[in-house]
Amino acid sequence: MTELAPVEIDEPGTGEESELDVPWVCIVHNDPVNLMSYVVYVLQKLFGYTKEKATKLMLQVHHEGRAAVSSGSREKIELDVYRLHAHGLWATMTQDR
Amino acid sequence: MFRQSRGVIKVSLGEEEAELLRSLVHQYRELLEADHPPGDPVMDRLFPSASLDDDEVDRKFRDLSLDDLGKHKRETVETAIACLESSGPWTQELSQEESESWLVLLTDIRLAIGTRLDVTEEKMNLPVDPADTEDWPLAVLHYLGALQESLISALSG
Repeated sequence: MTELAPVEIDEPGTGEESELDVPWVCIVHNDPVNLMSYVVYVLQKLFGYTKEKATKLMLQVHHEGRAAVSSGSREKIELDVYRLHAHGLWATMTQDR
Repeated sequence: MFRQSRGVIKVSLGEEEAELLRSLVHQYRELLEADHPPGDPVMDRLFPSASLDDDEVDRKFRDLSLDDLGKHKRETVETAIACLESSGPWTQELSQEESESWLVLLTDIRLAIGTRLDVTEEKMNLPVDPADTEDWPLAVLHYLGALQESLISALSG
């Protein structure tokens, strides 16, 4: 009788390891009230982006309705979402699959 | 308006503008302290969801952060009220912290007004007649936008 060692199958959404490895993404959504200059200011302040990068992201939000502004662990992204909400921007989090 | 001079943020508002700001700030503070029915659009915008499609993610986020966000907003209002003179024109030098509080406060007040008016991008681009009482809230929204713009310039300069 042979004993077969258990085989780990790396399927998304199954083993705990693959869940933890999938990064989370913080997305900022467009809104009709906030000033473009304010969005740029907040992105620079919270993420240390250059004015150029912050402006590029803001324009993406403005023209496409949304933009991914950061990625990382769930905890990091929850904090990023919170900080954006605390500055009046609407942000959501999603897992980058 | 706000401006920056030699690294110091200064605000200078005439009496009418200062009175308007006082009124708005107090109304906003009352808004934060009042009870609201679930689904109130202004509260939903001030305390937005953290996920578009996953209720569990949103619930976990709110469990962690809702109290903190409410506390942060109330503290921001108090910081702002503390530096706003009680009457007359408002001329003052502001610290970095006070300036940042005013920036967030102006944002929240604009969000509250804009959400209540259900503005769209198109509506924001239409000309407004401040003499028309129906247009008044939108005129205020634009005025606060100009005020905020001056503060952003002052903070970025």
